[in-house]
Amino acid sequence: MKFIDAYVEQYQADGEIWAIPAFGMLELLMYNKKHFEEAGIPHPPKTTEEVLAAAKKLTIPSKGQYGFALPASDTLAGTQSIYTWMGAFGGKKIFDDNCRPTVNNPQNVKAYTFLKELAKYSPPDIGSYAWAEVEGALVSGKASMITFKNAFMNAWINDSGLTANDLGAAPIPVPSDGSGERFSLSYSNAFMVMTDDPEKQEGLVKFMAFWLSPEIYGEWLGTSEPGLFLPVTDNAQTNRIMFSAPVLSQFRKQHQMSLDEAPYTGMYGFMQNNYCPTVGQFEGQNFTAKAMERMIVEDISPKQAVDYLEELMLNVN
Amino acid sequence: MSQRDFRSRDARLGLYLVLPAVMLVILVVILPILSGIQISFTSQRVVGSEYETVGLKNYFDLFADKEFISSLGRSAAWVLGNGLFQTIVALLIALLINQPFKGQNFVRTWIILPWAVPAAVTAILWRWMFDATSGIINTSMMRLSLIEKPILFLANPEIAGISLTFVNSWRYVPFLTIIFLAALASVPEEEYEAARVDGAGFWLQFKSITFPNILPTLTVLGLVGTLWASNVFDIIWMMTRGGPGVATTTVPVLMYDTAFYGYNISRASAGAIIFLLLLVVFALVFIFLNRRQFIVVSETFKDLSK
Repeated sequence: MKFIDAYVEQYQADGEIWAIPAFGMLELLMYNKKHFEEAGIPHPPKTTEEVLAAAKKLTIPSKGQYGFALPASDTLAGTQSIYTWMGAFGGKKIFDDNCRPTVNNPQNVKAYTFLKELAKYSPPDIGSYAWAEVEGALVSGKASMITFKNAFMNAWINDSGLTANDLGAAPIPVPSDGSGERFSLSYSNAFMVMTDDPEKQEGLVKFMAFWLSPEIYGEWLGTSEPGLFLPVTDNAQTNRIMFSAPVLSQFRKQHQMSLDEAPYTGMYGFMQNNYCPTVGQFEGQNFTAKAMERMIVEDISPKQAVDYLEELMLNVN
Repeated sequence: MSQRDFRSRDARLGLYLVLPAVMLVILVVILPILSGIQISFTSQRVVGSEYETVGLKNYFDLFADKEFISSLGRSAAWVLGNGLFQTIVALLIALLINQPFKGQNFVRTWIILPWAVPAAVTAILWRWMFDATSGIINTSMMRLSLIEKPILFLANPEIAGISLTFVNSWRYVPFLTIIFLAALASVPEEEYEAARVDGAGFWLQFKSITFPNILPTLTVLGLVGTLWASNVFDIIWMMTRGGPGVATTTVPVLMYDTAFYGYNISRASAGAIIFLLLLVVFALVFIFLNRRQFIVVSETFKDLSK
């Protein structure tokens, strides 16, 4: 058994690992296959240009249908989704080795330019959209695409009126000029035990062995919010108990997509092999989402939005 | 036993009876405030972390912070908007349902329902209804051709505050209506009869009889309502989280965000103390300016306790 590198890298500082990954979460491009068929779009977009073209084609306001549902609100939903796109455009690193913000760069201006364009094909009130609204938009057919964790299998089955096969999942598209990279936010959770006591340390080892045993881990991954929580070890990628869980077994393809994307993930503020304290404010106060919200609501330019993002990071008080 | 002994025994009994309430207030109000004051003079970032004493630095920083100053302005606008809207609507409804009609008791009882709905449910309910594309308000108005484009109730910074004021008022108007109904019930019917005999119409009756009689209630509600509205956090946070942008970021929302998402508990404490002081000053000035009405209320309570 080996932990997947992308999950462990987040918990390293000064050459040491300070937490043990428990489970992962990442974002995909989730889409409504029926909408794509109806619009004559043969495959999910692979590039950001294709995303915009598809979103434009899929936007039919008279039907109450929009190409994309972007969470452009000052929420964690916005923070995560926007960061995923920043990463896809090549702007995943938000601090340098001295914890100075590095967000004010051409890649992020391109990312925000793309997002501003994408907002044109989103429902008009995305400035108040958080997770529930984004998920609800895809499930209800109001939106054809979202960037989201594969976390709404139950809702899709119960409320969309469609089958599991009608839910599409694809890697986050990248710019066609090769300036970006295959990427998604990785939002994993980890165990931390702060003790020098050998007995407690031994207890932790026993607990981890229990937690990661195929029966326990597989059952938990398969049934707790099916699809959302992803295994962090290589041998659990094929866990049969997980794949045979009642709901998740219907969404094998989509779940497999999440597993395949795991190596291409990262977490803001935890990829320069050091820990930058202001990452707390970066996430807690939703800096990326604040910049996005201002760009949409106040109609500032993408460059101004990125300037504002940097300003927020520099003025953490 | 002399009358004096009785009084002294009554006083002691009264003291014992209020003691649990006083202890509770000390525990959940006074001590946290004192703790907040102490933290506001430090550099503490999260509860339990190490800190240094920084004197008035947090206070000076806040007064130089445009975001904090503008949140004070938004709080004032929020209080004024909510206060006026709720008082006028509640008074109108109270006057309306104070008139005899079939089903009056039913209406009087069930009007309280929105006030009893938990804030979280209210927030979700209204978020759905305000939705631009599938909310019942926009879709109905568009189908009736009243509007061409959906109104962005929560996503437009110029409208979001009004939308929240409406939702918050939807919650509190029933409660205020009940209070006004109680006040209206205490207006002697003979005064109205005499006025009607003299040929006074509705407006004259309201101006000369109703209003003076409910003025003490109105005054108390003016004070209590201002303090309540100032501290509203739940509805704002759950519906807009202070957005879009900072359009609905009042002081409580900003301080919560600073403390628990900006990890700066000392700065948030300083902001809370400033806000508390402003409210105390407001309350003292308000009571002083309306002391006559408060004396009437106080006398009423004394009469009731006899």
